[in-house]
Amino acid sequence: MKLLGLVFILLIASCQDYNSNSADESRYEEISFPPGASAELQASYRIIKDRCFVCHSEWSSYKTDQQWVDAGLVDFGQASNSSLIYRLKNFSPPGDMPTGAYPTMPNSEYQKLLDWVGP
Amino acid sequence: MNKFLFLFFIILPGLAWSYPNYIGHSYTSCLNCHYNPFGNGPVNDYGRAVSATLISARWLYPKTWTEEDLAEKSGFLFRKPKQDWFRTQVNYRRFRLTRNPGGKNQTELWITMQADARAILKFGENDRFIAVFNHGYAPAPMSKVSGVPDEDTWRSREHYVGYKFTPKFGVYAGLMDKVYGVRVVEHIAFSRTFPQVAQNDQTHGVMAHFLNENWEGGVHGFVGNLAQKEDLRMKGGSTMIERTVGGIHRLGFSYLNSSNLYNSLQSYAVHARLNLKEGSSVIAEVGQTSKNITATKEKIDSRYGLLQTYLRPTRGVYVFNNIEYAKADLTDDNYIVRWGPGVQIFPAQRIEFRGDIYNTRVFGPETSVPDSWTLLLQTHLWL
Amino acid sequence: MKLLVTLLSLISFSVFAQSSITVNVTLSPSGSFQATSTKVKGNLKKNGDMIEADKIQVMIESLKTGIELRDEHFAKHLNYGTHPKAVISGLKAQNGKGTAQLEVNGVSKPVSINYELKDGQVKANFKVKASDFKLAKAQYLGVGVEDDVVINVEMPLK
Repeated sequence: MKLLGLVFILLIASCQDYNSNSADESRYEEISFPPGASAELQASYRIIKDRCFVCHSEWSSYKTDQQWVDAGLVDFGQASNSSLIYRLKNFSPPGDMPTGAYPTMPNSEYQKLLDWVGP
Repeated sequence: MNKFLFLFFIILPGLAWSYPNYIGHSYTSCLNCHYNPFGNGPVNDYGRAVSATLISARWLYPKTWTEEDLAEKSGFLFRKPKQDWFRTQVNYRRFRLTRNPGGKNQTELWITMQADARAILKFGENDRFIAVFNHGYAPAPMSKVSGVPDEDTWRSREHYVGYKFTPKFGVYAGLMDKVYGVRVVEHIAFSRTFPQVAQNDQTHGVMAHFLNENWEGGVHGFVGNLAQKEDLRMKGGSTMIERTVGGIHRLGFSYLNSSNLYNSLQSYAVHARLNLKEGSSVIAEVGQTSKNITATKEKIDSRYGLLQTYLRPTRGVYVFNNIEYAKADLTDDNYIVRWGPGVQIFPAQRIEFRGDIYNTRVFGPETSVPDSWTLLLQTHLWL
Repeated sequence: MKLLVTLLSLISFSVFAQSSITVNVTLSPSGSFQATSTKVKGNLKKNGDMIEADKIQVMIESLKTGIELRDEHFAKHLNYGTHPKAVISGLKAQNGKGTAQLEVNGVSKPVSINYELKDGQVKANFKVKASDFKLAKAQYLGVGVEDDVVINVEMPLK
């Protein structure tokens, strides 16, 4: 029995533990925003973090409205002039973002981004 | 002879396992062929013999070998075991993944999916007590969310002990797959990814399995993978129950409830495994998951479906077709349909060749996403 | 045209009305298999309201289970070398029930039969215990066979 226990411990200690939950902390953790960050910005940031940071990790520091404007990604009140928005829908070719093997953003999340940026 | 066998192991990759579709051969329960009563993991002596004399063809064997010879040579290193208490298996699986085959953006990857060794200790009448160990190579994950540290490439996917109080009731403890749904071999299937019972989602826990003339089922309480950080471990429980219908088919129901510091997941599903005789079968599963995000109090309901047909035109050959459906968010209009025909060939025991083509299409009123096509060619060897 | 269709259906029926014996075996811990043969010798006859048969027999070696190795084991287990046939004799049946003698492995036992008659085809079944016929408990690499066995017989009524 002691030998079995030792083997168990060795097997647990060794190795890769990647699974369906490995990204839960980074995906669902509490995110701190500067004072004054709107609820719409916070909700949108979480969506963009989940859907976009895998390729656009440089956006992770944009936690104020102004930072998104300065990056040239958002034009508040002008969704059609905000590349963060217009690249998500009916952008053909080369197709909607996220691209490649990553899943399409559901409409419910897209709507939250529209609520933040404005029509 | 030893050098030849060593080279055989190195050069040739592949493995013939048992699958839930073998209900088409009237094997309603996985327990006949597997140490784990819900399937996956190493096959027992009977499973090896079935693999050699029923599943696999005999194209590579001399005609002078009888079926009894094949069964006798189905053991490790082609030998009949000389003792009852120890078994081992080694597996290697490698495939070529081609995205957009024939298209402008065609990409190709060679991936070694698996190279592992398994050891089984078993004692008592009808292997009343078993201990199963697995350790081996696992490739680093291809798709990562930012913030996840780089992963090692060695892991254990199973290590557990089991005790069968009777041949039809046993308790198992250790690292195992969660008891839920149909354990199809396609680990990217929505029926496995949505309820988080995919190829790396084994958990430490205690599982009870029971079986009688009409029913089979299990209850599993688990605490997550102890190799993982505590805040990520999904703790909870699951159950799966199947009813034998018409003596040869199975209908089932599953439920899973688990949570970690960041979210909780509830899943439930119904499934059917239908025996079309002569090795052919149909498998179907429909399920729904509910994920609650702790930090945002958000709730996401998803739904998935799987229809898999397996046809056996001749010994050693299976032609199959997968049709899958997934709606990641029930409040949303978008949904995904994935279609995947393929063929599996077992020219002899211990060798499997498999080819799959997947077409994935996103449906949505305001979505413009080109279809994605993927070609998978796989070889799989075991000893 | 109607005559042609009637004639064709009668011909079809006589061509496809086939005799078969199926042995339904339950495995332990789980699963099942069927050993089936269409090489059944004998006839069912109508005698007033009764259905009778002097002798219905099948060669053990002709029973096929879907796995060649299992066919060999099945036949050996039934001692086909010394007792090559299974025989149902003295069958008398009426109103869905009947009796007969079943001989397997040199042992003869009475059996109770249920049957239905439809379109000239009799479908009968009865349950037996393998141990009643002095057959040893079968097991192969940890998978065994339950003692209770159900036998289905299908034959045209002449």
